[in-house]
Parts: sequence; C-alpha cells; structure tokens
Amino acid sequence: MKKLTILLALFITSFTLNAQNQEAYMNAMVKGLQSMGAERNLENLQASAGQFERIASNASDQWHPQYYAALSYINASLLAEGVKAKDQLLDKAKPFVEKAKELVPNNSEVVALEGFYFMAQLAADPNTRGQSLSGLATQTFGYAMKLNPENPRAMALMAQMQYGTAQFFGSSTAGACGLAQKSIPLFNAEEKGKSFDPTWGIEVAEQLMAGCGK
Amino acid sequence: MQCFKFIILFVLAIASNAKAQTVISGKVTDSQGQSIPFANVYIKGSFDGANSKNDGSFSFQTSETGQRTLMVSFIGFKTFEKTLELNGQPIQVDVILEEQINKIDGVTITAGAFEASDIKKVTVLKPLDIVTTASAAGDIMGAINTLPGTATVGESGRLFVRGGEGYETKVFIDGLEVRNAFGATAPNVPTRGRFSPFLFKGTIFSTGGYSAEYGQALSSALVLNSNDIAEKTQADISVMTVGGDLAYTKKWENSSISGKVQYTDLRPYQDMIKQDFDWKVAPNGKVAELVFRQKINGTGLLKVYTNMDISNLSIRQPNINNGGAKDTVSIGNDYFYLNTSYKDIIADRWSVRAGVSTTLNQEKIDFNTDVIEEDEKGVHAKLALNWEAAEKVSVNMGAEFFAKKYTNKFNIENGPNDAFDFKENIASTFVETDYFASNKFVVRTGLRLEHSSLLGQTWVNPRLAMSYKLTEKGQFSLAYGQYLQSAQNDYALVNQNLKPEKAAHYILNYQYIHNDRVFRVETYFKKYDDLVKFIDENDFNPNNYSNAGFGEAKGVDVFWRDSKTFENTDYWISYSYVDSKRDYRDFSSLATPSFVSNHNFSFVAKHFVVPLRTQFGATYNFASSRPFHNPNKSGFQNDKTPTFHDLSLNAAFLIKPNIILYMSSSNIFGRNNVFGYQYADQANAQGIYERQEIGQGAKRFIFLSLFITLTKDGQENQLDNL
Repeated sequence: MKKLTILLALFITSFTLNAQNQEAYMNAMVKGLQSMGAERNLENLQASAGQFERIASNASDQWHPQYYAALSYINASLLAEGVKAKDQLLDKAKPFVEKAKELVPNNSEVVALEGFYFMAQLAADPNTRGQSLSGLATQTFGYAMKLNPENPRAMALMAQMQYGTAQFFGSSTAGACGLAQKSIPLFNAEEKGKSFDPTWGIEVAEQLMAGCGK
Repeated sequence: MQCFKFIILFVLAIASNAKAQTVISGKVTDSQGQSIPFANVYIKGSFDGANSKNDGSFSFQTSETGQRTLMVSFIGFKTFEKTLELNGQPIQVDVILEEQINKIDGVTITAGAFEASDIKKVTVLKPLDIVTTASAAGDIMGAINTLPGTATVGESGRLFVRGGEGYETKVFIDGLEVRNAFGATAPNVPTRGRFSPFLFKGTIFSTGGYSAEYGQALSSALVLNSNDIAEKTQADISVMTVGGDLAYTKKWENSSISGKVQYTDLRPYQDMIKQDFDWKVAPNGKVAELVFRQKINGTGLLKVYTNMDISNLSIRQPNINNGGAKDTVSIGNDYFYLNTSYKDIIADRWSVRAGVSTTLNQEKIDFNTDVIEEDEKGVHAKLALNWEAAEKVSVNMGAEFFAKKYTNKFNIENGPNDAFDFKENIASTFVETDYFASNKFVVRTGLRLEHSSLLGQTWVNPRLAMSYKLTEKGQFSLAYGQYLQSAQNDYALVNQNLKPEKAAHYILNYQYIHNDRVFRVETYFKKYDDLVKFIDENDFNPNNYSNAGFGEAKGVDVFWRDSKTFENTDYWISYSYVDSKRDYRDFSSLATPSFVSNHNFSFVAKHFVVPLRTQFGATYNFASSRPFHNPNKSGFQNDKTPTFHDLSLNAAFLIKPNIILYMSSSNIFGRNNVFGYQYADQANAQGIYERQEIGQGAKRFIFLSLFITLTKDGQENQLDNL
C-alpha cells in the first residue's frame, strides 16, 4: 500500500510539473505576444524575438514559438536601418522559418510567413533583389492562399506585393485593392486570444485600403 | 487515512511548486568592456529570461530553484554558461562574452580576388551587374574586362590579366575546368565567352595569388559558381536582333530541370549595318543547354550542366603579302561541355565536393583551299574534402586528374597531308590550411603537387596568403604563389618535351568596404620562367622549341565603387598600371609584348530612372597605346599604336514585371580604334615594308532585345499582365 502511495505521489507530482510546464509555456507565450504587441520599436521586437527564441529552444515540438520568433525578427528587420543590419536580423529569422516548416509542413500560415520573409529581404535592397525575389514572394503567397484560401495574412501580403508592382508599372491597383478588401472581414472574423494561432495583419490590409481610397 | 495521505502529498506537491522567485540581474559586455545589447539571457531548460538592454543591462525573475545554469548567447560570441544557486536571494552576474572566430564574416583573404556573389554578402560585384554593364553586351568576360588587372585587347575579346596572355586565364565552373571557354574565331576577330551570366549565382575573378585548389593557370582563375535548385517554374523567351532563345525551367520540391535552346545569327544584322570586316558568312550558331539539380538526403546537392554549341563563320581578310588579295577563312566549331558535381556534408565538420567535367572541341578551319582540323578532348576529375579541424583551423584538400588529347590534321593543297596528336595526363593533389589567429588575422598556407605523364616529372608549388583586418572596414592582404601551365597545344604538338610554363606572384592588397562603397588598391610583381621560345612559328623542328623564355610584370590596380552617394546610381572606376617585358616566342630580345598597354581605365555607371522604369548605363574604356614591331625602323617592338577609347551606352526598360526591353551600343562616337598593324614579310620596290591596320569589325555594335518571362503562379492575374 505504501508503495502505491509513493507511486501515486510520483505520478501526481510529475503530472503537476507537466501542468506547470504547460502553464509556464502559456505564460511565456503570452509574455512574448505582449511584448510583440507593445509599441512597435526595435527594442520591443528584439525582446519578443528573444523571448520566443527561449521558448522555441525549450518547447522545440511547438511551431508557434518558431513562428513568432521569425515574425519578430522579420518585423525588426523592417525597422532596422541599412541593408547589413536588416540582413543580420533576417539571418536570425531564417532558421525559425525553416524549423516551423519542418514541424507543420504545408501550413498556410507558415508558408505565408516564408513569403513575408522573402518580402522583407526584397525590401532591404529592392534595386538588386527585386528581379529575383518579387516573383518568389508572390509565388509563395500564392501557395499559402492555395493551401488556405481564407488566410487573410496571405491575402493582405499578396495584395501588398501586387500593389507595389502595380504602382511601379503604373498599372491599375484595382486587383490588389480588391484582395485587401476581401481580407478585412476575414481578419475581423478571427477570434483573438483563443489559441496561439496568428491573428495579426489587419493593419497591413487597412493601410493598403487607405492608399486605395485616394 | 490513505486518502488523507494522498491529499497531503498532493498539497505538498503543489506547495513545493509554488516556489519563491529569484531576481537575476547584471550586465553583458565584450572583452573590451563594450556593452552588448539584445543578448539573450536565460535559465537553461526554462522559459525564464530576458534580452539585455541598450546599455547591456538585464534583469529578470525566475521561479526555478536550486542549481541552475545561466546561459547568455549573442551572435558572433561564444555562449556564456554559469551555474547559479537559486534560492530567492537576488543575484548579480556580470557577463563577459568572448568573441567567436567567424570563418565566414570575419577576416577573409582578398588579395587578388574579386568576388561577385549572391545577394547576401557584401561584395565588389553582383551577378546582375554583369548583365547591366554597357560595354559587356551580355558577355561575362566583357563585364570582367571593366575590373582592374585586365587589359583591353580589342582584336581578341579574351581576358588578358596583368601582363599575361589570353590563354593564361583559366575558367572553372563549380571548381571544374572548362576548356575552350571562348567561342572559336578567326585571327584578329574578337570572340565572346560561351556561357550565359544567368547560369551563375556567383563569380570569383582572381587576378593572382589564388588558392592551391586551382592549377594549370599562369595568371588568372575565373571561378564561376552555378545556381542551385531553381527558385520557380518558369518559361523565358528572348527575341534579339541577332537571334533568339527559348528556355523552360521546372521546379519540384527537391529538384529542378531547365532546358534552353538558342539560335544566333548575325547575318540579317550585318546585311543592314555596314561592317568593316568582309564577312562571307557572318557568325551563326545553335546552342542547347540542360541544367539539372537534385537535393540528396537533405544536405547533398547534385548538379549536372551540359552545353552543346555548333557555330560557323566565314570571313575574307586582306593579305598584305599578296597585294591585298583576300584570304577566305572559315571556321566550323562543334563544342560539347558536360559538368557534373556533387557536394555534401559527410560527417560532423567534414564536407565533400566531387565532380567530373568533359570538354570536346572540334574546329574545322578552311584557309582558302587548305583545311586544318583541330580536335581537343579534355577530362577533369576532382575530389576535395573540407575539414573544420578546430575552431580556428580549416583544411581544404583534394586530388585532381586532368586528361587531354589534342589532334591536328592538315590537308594542305600541294603540301603535307598529315595528322599529329599528343596526350597529356596530369595528376595533382593539394592541401591548404586556413589558420584564424583571431577575427582579425588569418593565414593560409597551401601546397600543390602536379605530375605530368607526358614529361614523367613532378612539381611542387607552394602558396601563401594572409590578411589582417585593421578596422571593421579596412584590411591588408598579402599573397604569394607559384603557378604552372602546360605548354600551349600548338607548341606541345611539335615538341612534346616542353616543360610547363611557370609564374610566381607576389601581391599586396588593401581593401576598404563601407556603406556600399568599396576601395581597393593592389600592387603586384609577377615573374615568368620557362616560357616557350622558338625561332619561327611555322617551323616544325622540335629542336627549335625550348623553355628558354622568361619575363616579368609589375603594376598597381585601383578600384573604387560607390552605390551610395548618388540616389539610384551605381558606378565604379578601375585603373590598372602594368609594366611588363618578356623574351619569349620569336622575340629577338626582352621587350613589351603587343597585347600590353601600360594604362587601362574603365568607368562604369548605372542610373535607374524610377518614373521611366529604366536603367541607363554607360561604360568608358581607355587603353594607352600598345607597342608593335615596325620593320621600317630599327630595333624591336619599336613603335606604338594610337590610344584606345570606347564609350558604350545601354538602357534596360521594364515594360511589365516580366518583360524587359534592352538596348545597347558600343563605341557611340564611332572612333576608329586600331589595335595593331600587320606588316608585309618583304619590303616593296621602295624598300618599305607595307602595312595594314588590325581594327574593329564595325564602327559600333548595336544590340536590341526583348526578354519575356512567363510564370504560372497560383495567381491568375500574373498571367493577365501579359
């Protein structure tokens, strides 16, 4: 009987530890998402990137921390000054994109993230990279939309690519604007705080729409 | 009772989990005391941690207790680890991170080498730069010719590097030899490189002092690195004033295949635009290319590239020895090149590169009624291993095998009707060690051993290079090396005992890269020995051919590139000074050869006009006068040509995202550049040797082309754009 008690106790302790680990994971993720959602500056994004990096190394079977670590670094690269600094941050993002792809192959969100990574690379040095990367980014967003035609992030980012291209070539932005418009109700329908699945991106579509109205 | 015990245990378990929080704070600095922001500070195996702030300070709480490891990591530094006892008492830790030796972004050896690489690295030239250089007309070699160390030799089109002849530059694709990298041509008719710049993601142009991995090149190695797996499925169509091509690329998850067919024909163009050369049949040809890529086991990459090229031309050239009557020279060239390479990581710290290349080149030369057939077959096999022996040491070693067979058949009217051939096999091994004393100082020592089957002899060539990084932006490099190259086919055919020609390079380089601006200055001394010497080129007596030739070249190369100062504008300036003298071939004394011009200058500018979606480009090339031998004067190599000037312009207009209209013209001002003179063998009745100019094929070359790319995205409107 005594033996059983110890066994039970061990079972319960390990269970609570696990639950605690689970709780710690939740808390750590929430903390990371908070710092990512805070005022958008390099320091906050680096902090959230670091936080997700720590979570990713400890919960290596979860794709969410990989996703947000990459996203933080990509967003940080957009704020950084100079090609070299931008590239350094994107170099940090890359392994997390790769790892997320490995954990959940053909996940529309992760594919859209990869497209966003290409887009950020392009944005760092558009003159020399435009030719090779614009097609690649567009193609990747296209694939994300094929995997999930209702993915508003893939749509908004694709719309942004199309908008930029249309502006450059002086052609109609109607297609891009239509796509951004279509994404907004999908963004609004997303339930926030229910899981760690991404819900960001409405600002991308809204910003585009502001340009479209002109 | 048991039930009660269980509850107690459960409560205890919960209680023990509700532990005290420990605050850990401190500062992260490097060994010089500079604070490091954004370092990742955390407790190993937990989610607790923080990033250091701008002043390097950090502070965070952890609920962990007992002995735990504090980890601090930051890119470019070794990860810091320290065991802490966590018991609720605040802990102060000062972290000093030690710099990690970075073999990729730290100090690199730059003496002699111009690297044009993929989008990531800060380099001197990018692959796209090659295509958009005005004077290049899409030829890799043309763009390389705007870099310092090269000389304009307008009647050749080959790369003449630092007082070296065209043949002294060797071309490699993925580390494997390419024979006959330039198209076949008639005497004094310039040629072009055979390979499209779009095949390559990076280029290393070495003007001397190159690694022990590269042999059989006296002056220069042009190392072309081909693209990896294609990024997307697409079709490409080009329509040009001189022909067109069609290409299709299919990409899968782990592999890709591309095929291209190209047809070039200068006949319609030359019928329209007046030529100075008298073409019987303007150059025309067909090229087929196949590129295959396959990823193997995640880390391995197999590359296969084939090029088949059939070309013809026929030209009438005035013969000064025949009262100006014209000779007809026709060239038919069949070319095949196959390059297969594989690279992989085979173990922790070990990677392998292996490959085989094959070149088959047949040239049929009709000179009036005489026929000469040249046939060259070459195979190059290489196996190389890279070993990251230690944090500060990497080793590159390998073995190579070159086999060559050259046949020359003469069918001369009223003359000999004969065939000659020779075979040469060269086996070589190389080993090279990079020692990174710090992130500021690297030394590379190498040794190359070559054995020739033809001569039954073995040579050992040492190589040495080092770089010292003065600041983040500037560094000095030094390089030394001994180089060998087998005697040229035409001479080895006559005398098979000719030893390889030799050169020793000494190079001192300073490079400064900052903010999209590059400044390089390099000075060198090159000593030639065992150059082939003969009395008369048309003499077939082996005893009259020897290795008695020698020579030297010294000079300074300067390069400045700036894509920062002017918006949407990129320009570079190259200047080369060379002083070179030789006594080789049929020279009667030590003299400067005719291909050497003391001063070469290039200015390349590109400006993108956003509202027009057009990139405009200009290249100005200058070469000072070249020496030639004038038999009407006393002495040897006793006269000088006029100077060379060429201003080329181009424009690339992006009509749609996938349609580019490209226009270029060489020699806008139509200057009559003279490269040299041919003198009659005999003096005329007045005792004067008559001469004729060696000049340009036409005043200018105008090129128009439309490039169309078709992709099938998941997006319909991508295609609608067409």
